[in-house]
Amino acid sequence: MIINQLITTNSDSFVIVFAKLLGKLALVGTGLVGTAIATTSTTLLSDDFVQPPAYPWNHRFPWQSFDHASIRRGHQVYTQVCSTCHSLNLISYRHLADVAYTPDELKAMAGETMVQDGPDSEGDMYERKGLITDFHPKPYENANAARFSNNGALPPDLSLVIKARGRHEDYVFSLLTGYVEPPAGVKIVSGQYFNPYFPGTKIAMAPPLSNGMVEFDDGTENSMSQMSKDVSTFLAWASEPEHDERKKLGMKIILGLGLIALPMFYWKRLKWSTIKSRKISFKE
Amino acid sequence: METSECSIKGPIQKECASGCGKTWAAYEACSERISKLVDDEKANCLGQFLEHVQCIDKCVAPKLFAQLN
Repeated sequence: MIINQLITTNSDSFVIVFAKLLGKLALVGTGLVGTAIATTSTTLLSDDFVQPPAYPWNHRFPWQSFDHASIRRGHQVYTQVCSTCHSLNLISYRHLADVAYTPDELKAMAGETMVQDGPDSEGDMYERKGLITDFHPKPYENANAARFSNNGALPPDLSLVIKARGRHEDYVFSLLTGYVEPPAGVKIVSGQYFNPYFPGTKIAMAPPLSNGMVEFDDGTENSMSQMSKDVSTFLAWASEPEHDERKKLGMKIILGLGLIALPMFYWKRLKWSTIKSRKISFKE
Repeated sequence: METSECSIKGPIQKECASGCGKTWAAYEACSERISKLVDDEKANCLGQFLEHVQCIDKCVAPKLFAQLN
């Protein structure tokens, strides 16, 4: 009997300790999340740039997909404006099939480029027409050539730029629309531009977009903000092409696990019912 | 403040500036202060300007995207 009592008190105390621990963990968790939310969008006095605001993107919530018309317009902005200096090494034309273009459109688009291929049977490199499987053409042969043509500044590859910058597409959009005259006392040398969102505020990239620069095929008004929004959406897609599929799968899993939770809850109650409803009595 | 050259963002920034009088006053006061410091090459109002930009941005963000496709 004494042994029996010991076992039961032990298991009881274990359950209580475990429950208390869970409660504490939850408290610490909410505390951490709260601090993270409170600190991420703050501009500190020691910062030398502005934290971009959170823009209401079409794909910001877990149940929202990319605006694919915007990806298409953004690709147009990239090819007509950004691609003169920025490479997009990780995205090939075929990646855009059924995302923003039909395969035929992409074949035609790739066919307009010339690509170096080879070596052929005689060991020579040769030029050929681009194929849908080719990647976007590079503006410069290598990083040194890019630096040499841009006053020493290297235009970064844009394939993963949205993931590589804090505040992601908010940053790229703010940067593209953020060029203003420098404030009082800030000196800008030639070849530099003032942009409050760029860390250090002095950026070597000249304002790349201006109103009406790109003529959209779908007739959308081509203001600078519209072009910036579209190219940011396109680059967000380029950084995460699996985004839509990922969110769809996430919804399926949450729904599935949610459904399974009901019988599991019943099963747990059933299994524990004998333990929870037991009565311990002690006899002299 | 000089606003963005964008035909949509620029006007929204101007509209939003009225709600950020406090940060703008701080910036103006700073530029007046440093205009007297002719010899000091490092004096500038970057901090005040960045605070003003951030204040305006909070108001601009939802209004700007409402006007875009």
